[in-house]
Amino acid sequence: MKIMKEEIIETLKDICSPENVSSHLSDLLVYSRDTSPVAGFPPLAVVRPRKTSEVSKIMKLANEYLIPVVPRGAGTHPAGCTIPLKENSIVLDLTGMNQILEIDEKNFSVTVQPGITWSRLNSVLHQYKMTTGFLGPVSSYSATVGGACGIGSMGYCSAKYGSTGENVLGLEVVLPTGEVIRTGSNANPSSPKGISRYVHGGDITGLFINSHGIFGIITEITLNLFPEPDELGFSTFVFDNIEKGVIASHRIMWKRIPLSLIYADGFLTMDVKNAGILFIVVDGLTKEEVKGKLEIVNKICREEGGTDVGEDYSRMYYEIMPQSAVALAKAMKPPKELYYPIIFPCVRIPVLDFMKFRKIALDIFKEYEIEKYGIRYEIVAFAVSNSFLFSSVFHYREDNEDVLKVAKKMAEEFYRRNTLAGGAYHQMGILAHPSVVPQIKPVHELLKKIKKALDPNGILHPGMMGIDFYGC
Amino acid sequence: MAVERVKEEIYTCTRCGFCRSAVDYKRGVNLICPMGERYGMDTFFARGKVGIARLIYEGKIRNFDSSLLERIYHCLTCGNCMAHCSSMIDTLSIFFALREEAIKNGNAPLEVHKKFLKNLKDFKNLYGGKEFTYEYEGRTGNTLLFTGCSFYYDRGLKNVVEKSVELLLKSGIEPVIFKDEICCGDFAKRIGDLSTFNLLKEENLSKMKERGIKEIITICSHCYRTFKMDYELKDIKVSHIVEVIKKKMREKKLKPKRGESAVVTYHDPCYLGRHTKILEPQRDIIKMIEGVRFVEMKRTKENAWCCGAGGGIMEGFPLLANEIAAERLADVPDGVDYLLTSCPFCIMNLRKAGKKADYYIGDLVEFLIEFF
Repeated sequence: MKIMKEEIIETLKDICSPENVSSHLSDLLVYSRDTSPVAGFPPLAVVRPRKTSEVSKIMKLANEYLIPVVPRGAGTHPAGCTIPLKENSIVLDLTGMNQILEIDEKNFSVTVQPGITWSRLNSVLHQYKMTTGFLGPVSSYSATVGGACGIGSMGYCSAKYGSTGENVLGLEVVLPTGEVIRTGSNANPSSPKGISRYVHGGDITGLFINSHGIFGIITEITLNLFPEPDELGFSTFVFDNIEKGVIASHRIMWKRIPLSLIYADGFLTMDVKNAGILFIVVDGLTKEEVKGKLEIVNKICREEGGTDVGEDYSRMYYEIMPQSAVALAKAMKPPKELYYPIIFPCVRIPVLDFMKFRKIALDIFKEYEIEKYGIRYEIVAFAVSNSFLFSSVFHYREDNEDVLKVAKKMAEEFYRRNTLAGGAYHQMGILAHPSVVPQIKPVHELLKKIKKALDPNGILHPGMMGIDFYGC
Repeated sequence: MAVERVKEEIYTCTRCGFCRSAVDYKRGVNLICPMGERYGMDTFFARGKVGIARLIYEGKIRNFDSSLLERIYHCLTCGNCMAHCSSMIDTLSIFFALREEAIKNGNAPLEVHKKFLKNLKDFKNLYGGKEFTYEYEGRTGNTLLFTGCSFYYDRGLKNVVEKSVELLLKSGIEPVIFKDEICCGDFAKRIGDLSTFNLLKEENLSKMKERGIKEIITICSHCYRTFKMDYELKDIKVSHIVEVIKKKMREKKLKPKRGESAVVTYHDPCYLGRHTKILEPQRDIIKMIEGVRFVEMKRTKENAWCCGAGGGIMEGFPLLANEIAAERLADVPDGVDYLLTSCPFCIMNLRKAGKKADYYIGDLVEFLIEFF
């Protein structure tokens, strides 16, 4: 095996140039982890391709030698979606493919390479007074557009724009066997990018969204482009009766007016306990439009018994939350536990089921005696078009084996109970899929068949989403 | 184990990656890590380096081979990762601990750094300067002007010492200068050579004690950081000259006269800005001078891009330092007459990259003296 390893590494260096390939122990170990508490197997090499053609050549090589390949962006989701689940794999770090390929104002689209961060993309678009609508997940400082497509991230402005997938118009994908395809209207080289994703035989784009990289490696993404909002309005309400806050959220969402809506409970960053906090941002073309929307929002909140605590908190959240917690700390002085590593088993739920899932979370926290382990939590729900992304966020220390064990167990328990309660998952990493797969068997069988057809050797991210026939 | 000292910091890392390629127009952030952007692998960014520290602490990495040293020593210690860390980790302490560990392990220092460490041991300054030649009538007092060996032994910068003395005298402070001044030990500390650092530190401390020093004023931002944060001084006050000048201007002891109009920008030295949080006095001083227009660089204050000199890079990898300096010079706004800063390393490095620049690159004090 050793000789073959060296041969493979040399070939990878020929494909991607030596500085973009590492087999140094420090890289292998660092790349066997992501933000999740679980470490995967150290790969045999880490490769940073710069071009689609390099990715394609790597896949052909991997098929020849039957080496697992694990694609990753910045590795910032804590569900364990990007860690190698097999020994001797090749980790493809796609953050080197980080260029904006085309801003097409005429056709309202922007085409990027997968490794660009959300924050950089939107900072560039800001120069042209444009935005991607959905601004990326909370980790948009580091999270990549490709990674967000791979696991269907949600977050800023998802109330209006939905999750990543809803904003993707077309993709370029390297298939597991090395062929390069383009989806939707991008399939026709004579078309401008991103006219529609549903053309040329159906929504092939959708197959790759949230697929955790098992069906192909996304090498180019065309996103919907929007003008920056002309006017913004902010409103924050505190609800002593948490359930009433949920009803208020539901009523506001049914009016379909928020740009961003976040409902939180047990919030570490504010001195509010046993109460719900509703952060709302609305946008509009004119001041009057924004004012009108805010009037509706505020009226509903008051009717449900909310107390207006002013616009500042929501403004602060909108402006600094996707950014560094340093700014957040300066603004809100949260306790130090907020800075500890986090796990947030997040699940899409019906808005009105907030209390049910909250109870599950509180039960688990109680059963696992989190106080004994110094674990702190907050419950945050992001509105994502018609539903909530419900996150039971908990902060824990990684230097204590017992705490680590409890944190992992709790995460698995969250996924198990939330699935039984009817929750749906975007991220099906190693912490989630063992609990989720038994509930979704028929569709999981179909996924397996598709996988088999696309990746006969099963080398692309084997084991992810519970699909594994590598080496069989 | 040196990394054990920073265990708390290591295990607070959430691996969120904000120390990677963040760009944020709302806060003036445009990328974080000059080394990471160059080399790409996670281990050249702070997240990976913190990961390395953890792996060493957990005993999973034991061999300090050349590739590991390359990762540990390719860091400017500019602290931009620290300023944008979502967990507010003191990444710098981790990096310094990693370097101490590398030296303890016997494989570091790197060949390219050995010459400088030898100078520190043999001549007690970074450049092997033999004689301290500045003519200044020895005064007795308890305020020490610590010139710093970079200002002192580099010919292009020696006038900064003269101007600093002049400015201090004008403001009513009669500083003492040690004719036998030795290095504060900054370079040794940054490379992780604690034994050399401690030798210099002990000698400096005993000299200061013996001569009754109560206050140190530094011109160099690296000396300032070293005295302020690495010396654990209890009875001696440490100030950077920009703080002193600002105070004296506020007290009207120093009154600027109107001079020729000029457009000025300021490069924040990492060791003065992000390390010790001195960001405003420099700007306040410049703004108090009539006729001078101050403009910010494109990336400024805690978002400032490093000049490329720090952490042993200029000494060890001058070409790399030069490339990063060129990136920094691209942040200088158009129409500027002066690019000022308060750090000899920044000046040396930026001057090398800015040979063709149509503005003057120098120390704030050199510029200020014309107005007093």
